[in-house]
Amino acid sequence: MKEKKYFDIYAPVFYPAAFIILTTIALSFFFSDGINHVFSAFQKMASNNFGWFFILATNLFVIAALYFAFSDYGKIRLGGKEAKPDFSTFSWFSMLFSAGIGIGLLFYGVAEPIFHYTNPPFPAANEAELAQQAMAYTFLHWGLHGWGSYVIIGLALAFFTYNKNLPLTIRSLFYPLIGERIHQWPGSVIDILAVVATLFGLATSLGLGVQQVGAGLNYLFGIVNTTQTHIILIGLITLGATTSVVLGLDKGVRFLSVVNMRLALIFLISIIIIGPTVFLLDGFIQNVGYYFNNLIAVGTWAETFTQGTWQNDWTIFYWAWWISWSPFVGIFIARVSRGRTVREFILGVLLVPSLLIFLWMSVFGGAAIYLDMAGVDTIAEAVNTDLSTSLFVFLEEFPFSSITSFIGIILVTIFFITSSDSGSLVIDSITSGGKLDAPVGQRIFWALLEGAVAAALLFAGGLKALQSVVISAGLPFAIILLFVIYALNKAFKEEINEIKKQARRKEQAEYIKYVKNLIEAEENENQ
Amino acid sequence: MKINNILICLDLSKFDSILVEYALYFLSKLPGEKQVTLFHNIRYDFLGGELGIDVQDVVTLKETIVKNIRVKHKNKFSQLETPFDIIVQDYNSTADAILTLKEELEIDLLVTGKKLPDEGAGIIPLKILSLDQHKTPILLVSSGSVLKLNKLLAPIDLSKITNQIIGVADYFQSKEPLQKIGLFIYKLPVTYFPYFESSDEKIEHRLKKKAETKINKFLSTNEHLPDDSWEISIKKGVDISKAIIKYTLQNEVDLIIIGRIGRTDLLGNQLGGTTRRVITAIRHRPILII
Repeated sequence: MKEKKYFDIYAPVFYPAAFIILTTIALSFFFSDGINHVFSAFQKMASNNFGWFFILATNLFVIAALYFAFSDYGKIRLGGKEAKPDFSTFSWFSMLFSAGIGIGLLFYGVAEPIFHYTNPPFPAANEAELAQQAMAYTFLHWGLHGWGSYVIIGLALAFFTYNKNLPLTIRSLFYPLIGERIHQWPGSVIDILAVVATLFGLATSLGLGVQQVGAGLNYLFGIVNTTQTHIILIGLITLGATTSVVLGLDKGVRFLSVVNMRLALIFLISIIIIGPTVFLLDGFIQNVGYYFNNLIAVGTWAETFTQGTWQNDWTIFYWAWWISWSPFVGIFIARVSRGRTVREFILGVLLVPSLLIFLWMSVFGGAAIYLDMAGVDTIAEAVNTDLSTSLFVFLEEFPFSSITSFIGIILVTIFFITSSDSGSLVIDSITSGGKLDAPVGQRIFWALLEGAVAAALLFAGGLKALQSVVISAGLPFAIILLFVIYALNKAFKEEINEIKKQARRKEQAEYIKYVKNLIEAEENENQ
Repeated sequence: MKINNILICLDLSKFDSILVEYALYFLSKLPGEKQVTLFHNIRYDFLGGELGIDVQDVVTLKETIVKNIRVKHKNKFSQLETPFDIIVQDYNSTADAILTLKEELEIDLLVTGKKLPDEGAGIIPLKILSLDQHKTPILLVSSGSVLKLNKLLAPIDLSKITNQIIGVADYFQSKEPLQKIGLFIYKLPVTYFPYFESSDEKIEHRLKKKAETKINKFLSTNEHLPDDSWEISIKKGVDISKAIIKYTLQNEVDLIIIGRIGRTDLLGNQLGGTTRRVITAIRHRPILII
C-alpha cells in the first residue's frame, strides 16, 4: 500500500479529538473565567474527595512495577526474544528524561525544597529537621511514585505493540479486557481521551516552561514578562518543536534530547563545583537514605489528622499531573524501548531517572536551603512571590551568574522543545491509528496545535487554569491505569504460558527431526 | 542405603549427553559395582501421524534407537568400565513407562533431566515425583550442571526424612571427602505477627535458641547423627524454600540433597511444597531428591 505523504488520518479519533481541542480553545477565548471556574471546582472536588485514591493508586503503581520486574515476567523481552534495543542506553535515558520531566525539574528544582522548608507540611523542632522533611517530600513528588505511572503505561504499550502486534495507541491497553472491540468505537473513545489529555497535559508543562523563560529573560535582560511575551515565546518554541518533529525521532528528538541531557549534566556539575560541594554531596547521600527509609510512611501520608490543604496543593496536584502525563510519556517511552527486557525497562524507567532527579534536587534544593540557613532570604522571598524567578535568584548568589542563568534559559527552552516534539509524535501516532512514523504534514499540524492550546490556556487563565485542566484529566486516568495493571498481568501470564508452549513445540519438532533422521540413516544403511 | 542399580531416562535431545556424563560422574563418587540402564520411551504424542509408522516399523524403530543410543554413549561407559543396558519402549505415558520399569528392574536411583522453561516442558520428572509410591531417589540434572562435587547441601527439618538424607550424604564420603552442610531453617511463627517486629532482638534470640536446642536434641538422641564431617548451619527464614534457594546461590553448592516431603507429610502428598519450589527455582544445580 502506498504511504500517504502529508496526512494519514484515522478519522474516528482524529476528527473528534481535534474538535474537542479546538472547541476548548475557542471556549477559552470567550469564557476564560468560566472554564477556570469549572475546572477549579472539579480540581477542588477531586483533591478533597479523591486524594486518598491518588495516594493509593501511585503506591499500587510502584508495587506492581516492582512485582513485574522481579517476577518471571522480568525476563520477557519487548519485541520478542531476538529484539535488540534501537537506541544506546544513554540516548534512551536522555529521551525519557527530556520527554517526561525536564521542564518541571528546572521550574521546581530550587523552588520546591525551599517552599517546603519555609512552609512545611508538619511543624519541626529545628532547621535541620525542616530541611530533611523538605527534601523527603520533594523526593516523594519526583521519585518512584510518579515514575511508577509512566512505567505501567509505557510497559503495557511497549508489550502490546511489540509483542502482540497491536497499534501503538492507548486503546491497545484494553485488548485483554475488551478484545477485538478495541478496534471499534470503545477503542476510539479511549484514544480520543488520550489525545485530549496528552495535549492538555503537555500544555501545562509548556505553560510552566514559558513562564520561566519569560521570568529569566525579564531578570536577565529586563524584557517585560507578560502574557503577550509568553505567547510570543510559545510561538518561537513551537517553531523549534515543529522543526524537530519534521526531522523525525532519530535526527530531531534523539539529537536534541542527548544535547540537552549533556548540557543539564554540565549545569548540575557546575553548581556542585561552585556551590558548597561537600554539603551538597553529603546531602545527596543522606536525602536518598532518608527517602528510602521513610518511603512507606511518606508515600502513604494522607494528611488525615491535621486536615490541612498542604497535600492538595502539592502531593495530589503532582499525582494528577504525573498521571495525566502518563499516556503521552508512556507512548513515547514505549516508542523508544523496543529490545529492552521487562526488568531492564522497569529498573531503567523507575530507578535511574529517580536517582538522577534526587541528585538534581539535592544540589539545587540543597544549595538553596544552605543559603537560607546562612541567612540569605531572597530565594525564599522569590519562591513565595513568583515561583518562576527562583532559579535565577538562586543562581545570582553564585559566581558567573549571568553565564549560568543563560544556560538555565537555554535548558528550559530545549526541554520545552523536546517535550513538545515528543508529544507531537505521540499524538501523531494515536491519530494515525497507531503507526510508528506518521506523515510530515500531520506532525506539523499537531506540533502547531499544541502551541495554540498552550497559548489559549495561558490566555484563558494562566497557570491556575492549566493546573485545573491537568488535575481533571488525572482522576479518570488513575482509574484506567489500575485496569492497565490488571490487563498487563493477565497478558504477561499468557505470554509466559506461550513461551512454555513454544518450548514444547520446539522440543517436539526436534524429536520428530531426530527420529526421522534415524529412520532415514537406517534405511540408507540397509540399501 | 545403597545405590547400585541406576536408570537414566533419555529423550533423544542434546540434553542426553549432559545427563549421561553427569550421571557417570556422580556414580564415580559412590562405592561399589554399578549396573546402569539407559531408557527411552518413544514419544508418540510428539510423533503423531507424521512418520506413518505401523506395527512392523515400531519394532525396527526400537532397534534403530537402541543402536543409536549405544553408538552415542558407549565411549563414556567404556572409559569408566561400567556395564550398561539399553531399553526402548513405546508406552502411552512416559512417566508410567519409567515407573513400571523402575519396579521391574529394582532400580535404586532414577536420573532425569530438569529442563528450564525455554528448553522444554520439563513435566516428566514432576509427574514421576508425584506418582512414585515407593519414593525411589531421583537425581535431576539441569543443562548447567558442572562436573564438580566438593560442596553438598542438605536442607534438614529433623523429621523422619532427615535420617535418610544424612545416610545418602554419608554414602558419598565413604569414597571421597567432601564438605557437607546440613541447613536448618527456623521459621517465624505467624501467630506472633501483630505483636512482633522483625527487629525485636529478644524474640529473635529466643527463636534461634529454640532452634539450636532442637538441633542439639536431634544430634544427641539420633542414631544416624551426623559426624564431625558435617557443618550444621542454622538460618532464619520467613519462607523456607526461599531461604534454601538463597543459601544455595550464595554458597556455590555443587549438589543439593533434599527430602521429597518433610514435616507436613499429613495428607499423603508425594511431593512437598518446599521441595517443589526448590526444584522449580534452582536452575543450574543438580538436585538429588530422596
